[in-house]
Amino acid sequence: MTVAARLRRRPLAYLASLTILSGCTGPLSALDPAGPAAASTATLWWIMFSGAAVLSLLMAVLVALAFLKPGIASLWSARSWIIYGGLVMPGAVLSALLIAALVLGERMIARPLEQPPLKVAAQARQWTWSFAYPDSRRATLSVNVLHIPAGEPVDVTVTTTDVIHSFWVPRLGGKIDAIPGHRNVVRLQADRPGVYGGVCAEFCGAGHSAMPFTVLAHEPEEFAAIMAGAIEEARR
Amino acid sequence: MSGRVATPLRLHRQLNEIWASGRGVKRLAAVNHSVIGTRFMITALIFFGIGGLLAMLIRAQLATSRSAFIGPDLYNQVFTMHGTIMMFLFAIPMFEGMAIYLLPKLLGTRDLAFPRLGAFGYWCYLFGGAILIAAMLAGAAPDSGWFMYTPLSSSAFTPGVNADVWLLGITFVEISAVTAAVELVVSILKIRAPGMSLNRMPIFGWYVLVTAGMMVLGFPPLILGSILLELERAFDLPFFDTARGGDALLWQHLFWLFGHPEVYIIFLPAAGAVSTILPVFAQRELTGYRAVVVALVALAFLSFGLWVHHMFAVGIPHMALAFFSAASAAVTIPTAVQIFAWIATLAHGRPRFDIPMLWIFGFLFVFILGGLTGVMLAMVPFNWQAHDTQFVTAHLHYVLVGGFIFPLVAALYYWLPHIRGRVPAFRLSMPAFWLVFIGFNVTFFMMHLTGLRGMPRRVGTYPVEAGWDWLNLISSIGGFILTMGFALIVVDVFLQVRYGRRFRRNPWKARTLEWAQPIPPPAYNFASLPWITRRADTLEPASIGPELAAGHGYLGFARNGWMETLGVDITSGRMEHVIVLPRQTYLPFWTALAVAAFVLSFLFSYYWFSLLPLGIAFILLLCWTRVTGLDRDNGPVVIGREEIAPLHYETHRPPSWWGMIIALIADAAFYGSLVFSPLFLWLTAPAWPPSQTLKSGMVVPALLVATLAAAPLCARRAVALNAKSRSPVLWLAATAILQFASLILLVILMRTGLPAPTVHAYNATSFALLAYSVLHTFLAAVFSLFGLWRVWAGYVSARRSLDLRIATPLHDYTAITGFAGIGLVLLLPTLITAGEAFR
Amino acid sequence: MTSDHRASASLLVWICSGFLAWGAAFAALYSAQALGCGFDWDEITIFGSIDAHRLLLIGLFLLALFASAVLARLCARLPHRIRADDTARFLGNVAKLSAWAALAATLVSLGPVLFTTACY
Repeated sequence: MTVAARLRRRPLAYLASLTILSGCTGPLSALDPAGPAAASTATLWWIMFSGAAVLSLLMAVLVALAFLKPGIASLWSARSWIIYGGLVMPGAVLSALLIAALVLGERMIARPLEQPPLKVAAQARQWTWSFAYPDSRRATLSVNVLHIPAGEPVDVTVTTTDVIHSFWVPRLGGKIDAIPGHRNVVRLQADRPGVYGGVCAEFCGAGHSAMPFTVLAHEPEEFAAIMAGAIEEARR
Repeated sequence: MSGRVATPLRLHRQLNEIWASGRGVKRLAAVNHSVIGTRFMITALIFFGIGGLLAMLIRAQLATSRSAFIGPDLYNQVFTMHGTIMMFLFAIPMFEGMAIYLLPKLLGTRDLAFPRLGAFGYWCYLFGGAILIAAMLAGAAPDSGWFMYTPLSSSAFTPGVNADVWLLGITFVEISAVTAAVELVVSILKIRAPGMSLNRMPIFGWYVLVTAGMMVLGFPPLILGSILLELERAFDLPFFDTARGGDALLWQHLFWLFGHPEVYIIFLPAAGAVSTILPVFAQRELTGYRAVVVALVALAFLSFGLWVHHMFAVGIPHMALAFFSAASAAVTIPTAVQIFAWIATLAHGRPRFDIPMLWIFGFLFVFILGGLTGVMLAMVPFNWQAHDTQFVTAHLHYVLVGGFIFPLVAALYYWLPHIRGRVPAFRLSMPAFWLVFIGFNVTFFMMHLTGLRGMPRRVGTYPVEAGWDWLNLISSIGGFILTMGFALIVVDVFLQVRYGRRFRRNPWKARTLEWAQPIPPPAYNFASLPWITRRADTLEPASIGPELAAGHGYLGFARNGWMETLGVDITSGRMEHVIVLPRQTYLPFWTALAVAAFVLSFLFSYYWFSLLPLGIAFILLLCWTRVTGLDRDNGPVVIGREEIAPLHYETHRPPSWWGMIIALIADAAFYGSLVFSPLFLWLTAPAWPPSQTLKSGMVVPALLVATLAAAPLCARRAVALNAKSRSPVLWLAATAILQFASLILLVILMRTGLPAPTVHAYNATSFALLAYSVLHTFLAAVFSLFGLWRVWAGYVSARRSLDLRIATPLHDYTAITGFAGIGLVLLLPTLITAGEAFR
Repeated sequence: MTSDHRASASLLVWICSGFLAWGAAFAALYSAQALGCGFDWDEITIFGSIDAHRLLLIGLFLLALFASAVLARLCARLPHRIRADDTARFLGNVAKLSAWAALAATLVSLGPVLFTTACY
């Protein structure tokens, strides 16, 4: 179907979907996920967003009802308002949400796996990222570009040589801070080969705005080739 | 009883003579709560203006990608100062001012418990804020973010004076927060109208009580953190330096242990204003009064179990995150209880509309959205994505502007007639509301999306490819609409204050005591004090007002030029004693000035010289006691309504005794955070164990335990003897000597047993623990000597024993923290060895 | 006079008691979690999939629940004490409800010890 045809048939829906899509995509958009962690977080977001929309609308209606039509609103005793509105409703919603979020969190943490995932090391300093590949046979290093294989989990160990930074690739998953003296691990996975933007998310001084990096997810063979040093670009 | 009572006008003149603050230079001596409260509020609003201008600079910078409006160095100062000013120099002082101004009026009394402390707090706030602003104008403002994360804020990465300005200036301002908190807690508990039991107290009193209680516990961790970081910067004690056994995470824990309760400290008073104002326009009293009180208690405590949700991305295991995530979700429920209590109040009342209600609706809309995004951020996986992005910026502004500014403007329009005695002449408030409301939502709503599309916080420039341009442009346009709205409010308030119609009493038909006053209120508040027989938000100001003005209540006369008000039993509100408050004095001003001199000399690294102003401040503080007390037994005095009561000097537990208790609770929160520090470092800091540990032998510690334990026993003996009209002098002297002996022993332990504190965080924290006890033994000894002087000067008798008894809790506290400190310092080497063996 | 003062202040302490217990439990579990991970208690298997760390945490959790429940029971009696006036009944009720709220908070905020991963 052509754009014109879509516009003719359901103009509003099409425009809305267009705005939402263009509004949510972007090289750094957490709402345009490209890996399982980011995808389930985005799903969680859309669930919470819809819930919040319904709840805020409901609250607006209730406040309006109480103010404009106290006659109707006073059919419920003050006690019922407080117990059902203040305890039962949020209690039910929050319990469900909390359990879902904790279960999801359990799936995302970098716990040991039977087949240990590939390890890469990200080292932050004011204001660049350098990446090392301890699993690689050659001592490969790349600056501001992280190579990973697509379609499998990768554990990124994040450290810093100076102040606190934060490693974040929004389209692949959540962020983890680089803290002096600590080694933090975040597990990421890119479903498809591609270029994914990353930023430093923790304020780190004068160059904080200019500390981006790129994640290049490759087909496994291509990744192996890079690790073997076959592709010059890796040494950039 | 009208026979001996003066006419209302003569009574007014007599009382005004005593209570009114002077004009001209005498203004510096003002201690009256209305004056101090108004000063706090006006100063806070000026800082709000400055913070708002900085926000405009931020929005101008972010309006387009790759903006070259201001460079990163300046930008970092601008956003750091915006956050710092709004949190520390606007929100908290604004609350303090509101509470200081309103409370005595709502509670039917004449002033707060410690008027001079209130004045001192104001000067500390003003001078501390002035130091920060001066530094900003000089281009040396703090630039490490309002959260001051180490090591970015450590001397290695911020070598200039910028970070010191924050640490010293903010700590200085925080003195005022803690003093205000102590004053408010004690005043609410002890100084109310007779008959106002806690269940009859206007709900605002509960809100302020809970908030002030939270400040007592919540501010000390940050004060400790700031002191430790300043010690690291000034004297190289490595509390946060990873290479030497410190840990950057220690700062984050201390900061957020304060930082999260802070959010509720800001929100609760505003909610208290809503709980006071909304029932007036619902034309019925607040429903679910008890449920709201329970919700407040729950909120107060739960808010101390959320702080790690600011640290979800620092690498803490999932289970610990889950604790904090669940607590963050749970804290929504008490908030929901309050919101539904308000809805139920409207539902069961006869709601009418007026300008304050408009702002309350704005508050409900904005704050509920902020609460919903807050729940989202409490969910760990989502937080990993949204943390440190513009989403959080949006959320926190929804919560703080929604939860504080909107109710505050409602309160402003509600109480402005009370402060100035005028009602609005023009209706600029309506367009102002819509400008603020629309401007706010335009600015911040889109920011949620900006954040989810990957824009981090605190960036000054961003690449055009990121696709954030249009979102940021919308936000910036909204920001300017918002500013226009605030400007219109300023104009409107000015017009009302200058040209508003004069109004004598109670324009809103409210049913709380502050509207029983003539407006604007006289310095003494009530010509005579009311007696309360039902919930104090269901009173009839129209009939009470004239009766009190005619002197038909308690203390409806002027006596000896004394500033008198009544003290009551904490819970029942039964009348207990007459409190004679200290008169107007310059001492708070001079003391705060001396502290400012200390802060400035420290700031410019004149460390030895800084001891001079510190000593002067200390001596000035001692001078505060010169005018208190009586040199002879007085006996009960007449208080009107055919009753008599003792003076507070001659009662068992007057407000000053409770002041000591509350101050010690704040101190204990400080000490608890200090004790936490070495234990936390031992468990998590990378560069442990230290190469050297304490080598003290057992002689000095054993002697220390003996002297520390003996001092409070001697002090108690002195109190007991005094109660039997026998001389306590010998035992007091023994107490002081034992305390000085403890002090010397502590110094010996520090100097001989402990390796140099700059080498490792273990040494530094042990040093800090012992130094804390040195300070406290010194303070306790000063109190003992003070007791001696008071006995010698004739201020103490069996009946007037407060000067001796007030020190007892301090003596006990000094001994207990001394034991704990020495115990921990002795235990740490063992822990270190054991830790290495098991790891 | 003295005993009256104590009685008044004590009701306020009762109001805080439930949540103070919650706070203590929260601090204890958070510390135990951190200590256990620091000293690898999770590698000591007790039986099946239960390790020493988890066992300790669950034990502490149950203890906290028990303490909270006991406190809630004690606070539930406060409003019905003999010679309680309006104020004492009000504060007693606040204490009772706060204690129940604290019990719920303990259950919710510390419940994750049952199923979340302790050291990753």
